[in-house]
Parts: sequence; structure tokens; C-alpha cells
Amino acid sequence: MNSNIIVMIKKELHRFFRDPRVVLTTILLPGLLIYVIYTFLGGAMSNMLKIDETYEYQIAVVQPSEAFSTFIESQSTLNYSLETIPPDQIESYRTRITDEEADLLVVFPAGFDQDVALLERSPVVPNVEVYYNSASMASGQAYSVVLSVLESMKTSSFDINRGVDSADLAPSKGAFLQYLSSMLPMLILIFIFTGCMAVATESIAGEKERGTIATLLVTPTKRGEVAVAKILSLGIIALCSGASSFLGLYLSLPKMFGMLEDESVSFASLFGIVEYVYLALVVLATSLLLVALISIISSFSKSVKEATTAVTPFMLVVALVGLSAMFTGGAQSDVVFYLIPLYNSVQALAGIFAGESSAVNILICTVSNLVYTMVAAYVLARLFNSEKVMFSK
Amino acid sequence: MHEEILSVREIEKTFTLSAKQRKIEKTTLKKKVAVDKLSFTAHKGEVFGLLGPNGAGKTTTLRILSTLMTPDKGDAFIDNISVRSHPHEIRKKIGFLTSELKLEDFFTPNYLYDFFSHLHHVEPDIAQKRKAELFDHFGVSRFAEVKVANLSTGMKQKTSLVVAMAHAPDIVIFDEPTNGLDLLTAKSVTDFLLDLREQGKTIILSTHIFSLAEKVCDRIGIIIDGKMTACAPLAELTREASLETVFFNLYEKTAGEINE
Repeated sequence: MNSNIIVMIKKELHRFFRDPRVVLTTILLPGLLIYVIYTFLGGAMSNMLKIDETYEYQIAVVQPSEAFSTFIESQSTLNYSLETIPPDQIESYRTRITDEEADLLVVFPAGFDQDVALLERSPVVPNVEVYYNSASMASGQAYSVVLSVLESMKTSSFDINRGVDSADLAPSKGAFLQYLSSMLPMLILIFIFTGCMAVATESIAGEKERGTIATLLVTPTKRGEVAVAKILSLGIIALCSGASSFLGLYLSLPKMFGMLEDESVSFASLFGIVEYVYLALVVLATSLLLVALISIISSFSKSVKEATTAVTPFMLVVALVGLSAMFTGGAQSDVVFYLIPLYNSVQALAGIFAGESSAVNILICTVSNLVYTMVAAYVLARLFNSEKVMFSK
Repeated sequence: MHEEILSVREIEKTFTLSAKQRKIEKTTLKKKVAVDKLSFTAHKGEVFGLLGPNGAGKTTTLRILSTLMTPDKGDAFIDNISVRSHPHEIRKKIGFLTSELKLEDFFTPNYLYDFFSHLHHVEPDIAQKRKAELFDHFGVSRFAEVKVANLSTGMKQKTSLVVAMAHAPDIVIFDEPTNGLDLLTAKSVTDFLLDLREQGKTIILSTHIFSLAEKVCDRIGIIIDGKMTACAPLAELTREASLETVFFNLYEKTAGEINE
């Protein structure tokens, strides 16, 4: 990279990271606030979503094991109605769970008790199937309790849900995933935007206001270099701010979703290395694009105050674009959607959180946002060259 | 006569006035001619002073020379390089100092000097040697590690001076160099200008302070309402009257009235 760009990036970062007040307000506070607010919200929500104490859980068992009946009767957590159904009703009962008319289905293989007793002489390990619906709070809780009952029976050797691909009978995906894919894109976009807005308005309009940008512009530094250095350094700062917000979100989500405590769905288990790489790519490219766009808007302003006012309508647009994930019901598959600036980030993030991300779409989203950033850097360089913009009174 | 290093050829610059500016300037005109077919030359090693009242077009002229603005018409050449077509090359040759160019409060003079040296691609060992000389000359060493925010106006001006000289430019452009300075700092700036002249640097400065112009300038250009009304060696201009008298005579003749 050009040495002028590097030295300007260093200067921007030096100014930012050596100022404790700015670091506190731009990096530490967003994450901390999100953690505190979401944890508080989580507590409030869990009270709101608490299942009525008189609720009777609808549980069906196929070919019940004697040991299971004994164990489940001894637990005092659930007020349940246990129904024994024949194997030919398994499918219809599964549908009832999907429709949230029933909560849980436990299927024991024929002769389970004998097989367990004779295990040393049998080559086949018995397998118990447990079906639930993660989109239903009651079903999730019943699943958690029954799972612990089965675990406590495990002095005998048997498997649970061995080879069962879809024990979760939620319609498409669980409530958690639905929430993640519909809400998180907007939240992440807003967090990144807030971080970008704080630093970009200060760095561009603030420098104009203080008269320090002109000092830079009379050096033999190319305007393009100034623009690229600004965007990259502000992008790094915005990313730190976004990462702080994300960390706050990551730590507070399990608290927000009390149901996660059953370990049936864990945030970490939804994310592999590939998802994290996708997320990093999308967030990085989006941060750079937002920083570039806010920088352009800020360059027309004479002061930080004016820039903040000018950027606010753009923030509303970004929030609206972020909200679109709630109405599209998951990520769009058509490639064209991944070429539309900002909307592409929302779709890519929705895809990642819904577990439906496609490498091609992520790549198109990232590359197109980087291209838009380069175009924006070019525009910013032109604006730095415009005396009307830089020196207007 | 030394060789010509600066040639300004009929530059023109017109600004569109905003409603707010029209109100301030009490005019209904939407355009204001800031610089009107201005021409002058400066020679190597000379101090050329642009003398004129506020709003005469001095700052706009210097901004054009420093490539912060482009003339609407005409052109200026420094070492035969056009400010209009090769601004990047011009910036390597000039040092520009104006009260409007500020240094970032957060940094120390030491950091800023290194930063601007780097942007001017000065070799590190040369930069350090020059920094030591300049810092000693202006007494910047005393506050080299103090943030600009905590410096006095004089200290800030000294810091701006050394930063503007970081790349040892051939031409130094100063817009009102002693504006707002206390007597001691103003004197050290004036002495520095004389030092630069001794070193053979070309200096273009704008001022409305007659004593400064008389003390440091070899040639004077008097600008009134964007027009060059007189341009001659100081000795020639002041042969029959003081610079102040010459200026006010010209002003009366050109503008017709003097704002009290």
C-alpha cells in the first residue's frame, strides 16, 4: 500500500485510539449498552413468555418403557398428560407437534426394556426418538425435561435420536433462527452505522470545521490517497465499534433467549468457521461502504453538528433496509438482490443467521460492496478537490 | 535580476454569493469578482508582498497559487509549472501558511512535523536534521511534546511555520503571517522571513500591515477590489511618499471612498 496512505491511516488511528473519551463512547459503550439493555430485555421477555404454571404438557409415548414411566412420574417439574399411542399414529402426532397442538413425542423401539437388559448379548444398541418443536416454548421446555429424564435412565445403555435428522418439528426453522435472521441484520447494520457515523462525521466535517483538512490538501498527497486513507482508517474504527456491539449482542442473546439454557440450541452450535468468515466478509465490506457514504455526506457539511443532522435521514433509510429482512422470510436466493447496496448486506446476513447462506451470494455481496466503496472513494476524492465543497462559507 | 520563478497571468476568480453572504455584504448581486485579471511576477530570492484591504482578493490569489483553488480564467506558473494543470507538482514546491490552515489539536508539534515530512517524502535523516534546526530556531523544542490544544497562539503559529517548512520549499506563501500574534511572536516571524530571504527563498506574502511590508518586501503589489492597481519594487513605490500614503492615494483613486 502507498506509504502516504499508511501514514495517514496511522495518524487517524493514533488520534482515535489515544483518546480515551472517544474509545469509551465509540467502542466500549455500544457493546456494554447492548449487553445491559438486552440482558434487561431478556429478563423482562422471559417473564412475559413464561409458561402458565397450570399448563398441561401434551406428551405421547410409543411403546413406553417401564423405566421411563417410573422416572417421568418421579419428576415434579412438569404438569403433563402422558398418552400412549400406537406406532401407526406417529406421523399424525408429529404433525400435531408441528402445529403446536401437542408438545412432545417419545418413541421407544419394540422390546426396549428387554433389549436394554440383554444388551451384552445383543449387537444392536436401542435408540429412543424424541420429537419436539423449537418454535414452541412449551415444547422446548418439555423436550428439555424429558431429555434429562432419559439421561438419568442412562445407567442402561441406549441412544437418543441416533440417525434422526429432524427431531425438531418446527415449521421451517426454530424461533431462535427466525429471530436471528429477521432481527440481527437490522441490528448489525444499525450498530455499524452508529459506529461509522460517530467517527466519519468527526473526521471529515470536523476537519473541515477546524480547518485542518486544508493543511493536508496543500501537501503533495493525492486527493484519492486522502480519501482511501480516510475510508480505511474510519472503516477499521467502525469495525471495532461494530465488533463491540456484536460482542454485546453475542453475550446477551443467550440471556435474552432463556430457552437456550437447555442447550438444545446454542448460538455457538449454529456457527461454524465458514459462517464466521462469511459474517466477517459481509460486515467488513458493509462497514467500508457505510463509512464511505457517510464521509461523502459529511464532506458537504461545514461542521460536525451539520453533518450529524445531514446523516440522520440516511440512518432512517438504513434502518428501513435492515427491517426488510423481517418481511422477506429469510434470505433471497436471486443473485440480483446481492448487487443492491446495503440491501445485499441485509440479505447476506439473513442468510448467514438462517443457516441458508450461499458462498456465491456472500462473494457477490462482498465484492459488489467493495466496488461501491471504491466508487465512493473516487467521489470523495473529487469532493476533496472541489473548492466549492471544501471551502464554502 | 534573478530569474523569474512565479508568473501570474490574468487570473480571474468569481464566487457565487449565498443569500447569507449577500445579507452580510449588503448586496443584491449574486456573484462577486474576487480576483479580476490579476497579473504579476516574482523572482527567485525576492519577497513579494500583496498589499490590500480586507476582501481585496489577496487570500483568493494565494489560495490559487497554493492550488487550493483553481482560477476561472488565466493561469499561474511556478518554475514554469501550471497551477491549473499540474497542482500536484506545485504542492511539492511550495510551503503555504495561513491562519485558516490549522493543525490538529490532538497531536504534538513533534508528531505533526514527522507526519508532514513523510507526506512530502523527505528522507528520514534529512527530516530529523531539519527538524532539529527549525525547532531550535523557533524554540519549538520546549513544547515539542505538548499537544497543540495546550499551546498558546504564538506557539501554534511557530508550530505551523516549522511544519510548513518541513520539506524546505523553494517558494513560501504566507497569508497574513503575523495576524493575531503578540509582539514577540510577530517579531520572530518577521525575523524568520528575513532569514528565509537570506537563504535565497522566494516569499510571497499578503498583508495589510504597512510596517511589515516595508521591512521585508522587495516588491509590492497593491490589490484593490481584485485588481492590481500598482506593482513595483518597494524603493520605486516609496520614492516620493510612504507606502501608507501611496496606498491610500491609490485606494481613493480606485475605490472612490475609504471606509472609516
